[in-house]
Amino acid sequence: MHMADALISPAVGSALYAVSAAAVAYSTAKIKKDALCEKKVPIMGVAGAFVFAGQMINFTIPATGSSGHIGGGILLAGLIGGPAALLVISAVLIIQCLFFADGGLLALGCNIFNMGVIPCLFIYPLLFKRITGKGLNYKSITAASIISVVAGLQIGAFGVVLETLASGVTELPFEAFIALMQPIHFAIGIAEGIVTAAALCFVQNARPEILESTSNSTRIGSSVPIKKILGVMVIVTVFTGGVLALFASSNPDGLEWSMERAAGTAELEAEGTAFNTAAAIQETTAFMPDYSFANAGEDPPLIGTTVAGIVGGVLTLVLAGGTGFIISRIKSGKGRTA
Amino acid sequence: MPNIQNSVQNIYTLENLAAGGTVIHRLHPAAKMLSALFFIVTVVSFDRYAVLSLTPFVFYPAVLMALSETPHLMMFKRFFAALPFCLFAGIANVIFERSAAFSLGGLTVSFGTISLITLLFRTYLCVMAVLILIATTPVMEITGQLRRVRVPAIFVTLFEMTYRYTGVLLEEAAFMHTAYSLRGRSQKGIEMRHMGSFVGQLIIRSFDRAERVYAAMKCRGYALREFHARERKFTARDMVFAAMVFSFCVFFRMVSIDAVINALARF
Amino acid sequence: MLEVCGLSVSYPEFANAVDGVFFALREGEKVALIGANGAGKTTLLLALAGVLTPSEGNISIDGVKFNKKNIHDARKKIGLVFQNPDDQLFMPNIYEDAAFGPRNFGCSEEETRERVENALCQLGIPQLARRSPLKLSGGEKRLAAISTVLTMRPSYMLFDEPTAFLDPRAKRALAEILSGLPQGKLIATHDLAFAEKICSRVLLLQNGRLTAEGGIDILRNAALLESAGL
Repeated sequence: MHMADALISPAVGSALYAVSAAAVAYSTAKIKKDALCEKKVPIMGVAGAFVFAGQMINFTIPATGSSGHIGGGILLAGLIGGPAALLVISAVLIIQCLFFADGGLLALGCNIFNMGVIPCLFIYPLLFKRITGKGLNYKSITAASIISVVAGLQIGAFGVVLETLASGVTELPFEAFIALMQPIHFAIGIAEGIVTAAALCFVQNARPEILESTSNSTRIGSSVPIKKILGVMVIVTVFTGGVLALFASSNPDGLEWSMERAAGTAELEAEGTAFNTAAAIQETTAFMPDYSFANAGEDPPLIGTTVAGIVGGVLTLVLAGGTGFIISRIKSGKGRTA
Repeated sequence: MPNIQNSVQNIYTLENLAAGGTVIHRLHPAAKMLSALFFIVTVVSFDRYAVLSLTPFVFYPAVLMALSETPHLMMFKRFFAALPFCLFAGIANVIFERSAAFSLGGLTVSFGTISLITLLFRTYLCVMAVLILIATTPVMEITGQLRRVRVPAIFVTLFEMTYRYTGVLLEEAAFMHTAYSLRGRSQKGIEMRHMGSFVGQLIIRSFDRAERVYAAMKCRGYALREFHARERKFTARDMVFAAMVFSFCVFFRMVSIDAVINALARF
Repeated sequence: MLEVCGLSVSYPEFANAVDGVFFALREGEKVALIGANGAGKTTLLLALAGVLTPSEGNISIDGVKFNKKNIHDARKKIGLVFQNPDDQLFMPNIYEDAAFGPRNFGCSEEETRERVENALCQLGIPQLARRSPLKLSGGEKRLAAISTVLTMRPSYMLFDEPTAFLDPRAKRALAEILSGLPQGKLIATHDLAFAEKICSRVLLLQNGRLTAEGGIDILRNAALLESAGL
């Protein structure tokens, strides 16, 4: 469910960055208030490593031949509480993005939201704790785990759909996208829910104090802050989303808008012949303002220019690769003489 | 299980690369972080048919990898990790956008195909930007920078510890997994009915370890407070690097290469 | 002098894991703490380092008793090296880990750097400063873990099974390094040959109780060792 940078637009990316940053800041503040805050940091650090290791272990799903792995949001929240779990998931996602190219730097906000904020700050307090509230036993833990994991994955997958569509990188119709994503994640959710339940029951059996301390320490006043954070998040989303949408509607994207502000005009009226020719060229090819190829439905461009385009593109790539190669050669040559 | 071993190896190789001492390695972490982010934002800000306009952006990974002596093939393999979801969205475009963009010698290329190629290309550029950052910047420099911009100690320490113990727990999980599969029926994965106790066991080991780590930290006077990361000067060289990346991005964002090529073709 | 007077430590599910222990460790003295698995060695060390609170008795350094108020200062004087270096080394590189203690005790960045460099040189591992603990050998990890304690400039050092995970050559190197360190040392181990090499005095722990104390000839008393499960 990790979204990649290439799948999102800067506007969607930064809006969700803002929301996730607010959620992480809220969770940090919440944990700082905890009397056991100091002790929580090593626990959270090792728990993060655990999630990482856990996600690497595949289990076989009976009768299907396929395999799954644990996702971790609900499992972690059950072990160390919602806010702490969110911080841990965020740290894990950052590491996955940096070291494994799983997710992306710009998509980090989206990923933290879909896989961290949703299960840890919403599903866990609103569903999981409601169900286990009456008492921790195998039955309540199992029901809470399965329902929460399924709900978390459904909403998370829905988030992926909305974020991808809002970014405009795919033509996939909304209905088809939903029809693909939701059932797959329902099946994954059931399997993951069962494993989460079994793991939590195992811990409850071997070390009941772990689960009990979490469910007690976060019980106090858990209903009020959730409303507060919901409110804050709605405001942040509407604000950043709204402001960014304003740029986007008047101008294709926020980056161009900010360049316009910085440079005075949208097309960067710089001095010098290179810029003038470039501007002139852009005027002559105005029928395809930004696009490499003409807009759908309009007259297709001349074959000549298409071929030129492809050749030019390939040449640019070769040139770039060649530059890299030459630098490497020069460097290794230096290394040998030195 | 090879999957786990690969991950440990992966962290280890990137760490080794980051310990290098080239021009790029010596740059200020903030310069590299901002440049990578700016590059990614620029790349994703293009529309979904802009494959030609994106071509000049290959200069960024090509030049940086050469300067930092980062092996390209190894990095390229990582690119496949990011692929599945992008391919899914891209192939959907091929199916749903069938109108012809152009035809070449009887072969009609649809807008969907162009957008698929653009998407893959864009994925490649973004993945490379992130990997180059991490292959030239040790983790401690990144977290040091986070401390300097006043990210709370809780989060930075948590991040450092997660990073540190990922390797340790992956190895532990790998041992448990090997011990399991030597006795298990299937060589592939863990049967679902055993997964609960397998994961539960790993959780308990993790918590026990966390207790000992906490004790070891306490012995050394651990108290959660914001300690100041060593200041590091943003030198003229860092400034020049950032300025070059920024202007490179802005230039090729504004002046689209295909327009230049098209106009040249008309002369 | 580090003095332990009638010390008992209990866990919620295990009463008197350490049971009424008396002993003293003089400055610069090297003492072995031997005992079978589960004899209470680790618990005793954790209590001495101020991690576990004694249920009875007390610990004092140079006549000053440990209490809740001075525990922070007491920890400065006593350094504990854990059995598993992976528990001790929690930062992404060795330098940061070695700097952790001094920073916590309020040293300036310059002093911290000086202490870290000194400690790493003293142990002969200055080249490990920027390395991550992930792929160090067992011996290197052990020395790195010791460096994190040395930088605190303690008067006494406690070691929990220092030879665990080490091959014979690394063991010999470690013995040499430990002999060279000037601090008073309490070394918990069931590696008797190692204890004999370094220590001048031996404490034998059995089910939480100190059952024998004396010179290294204890290590040659086969009947006594057999009865203690060693």
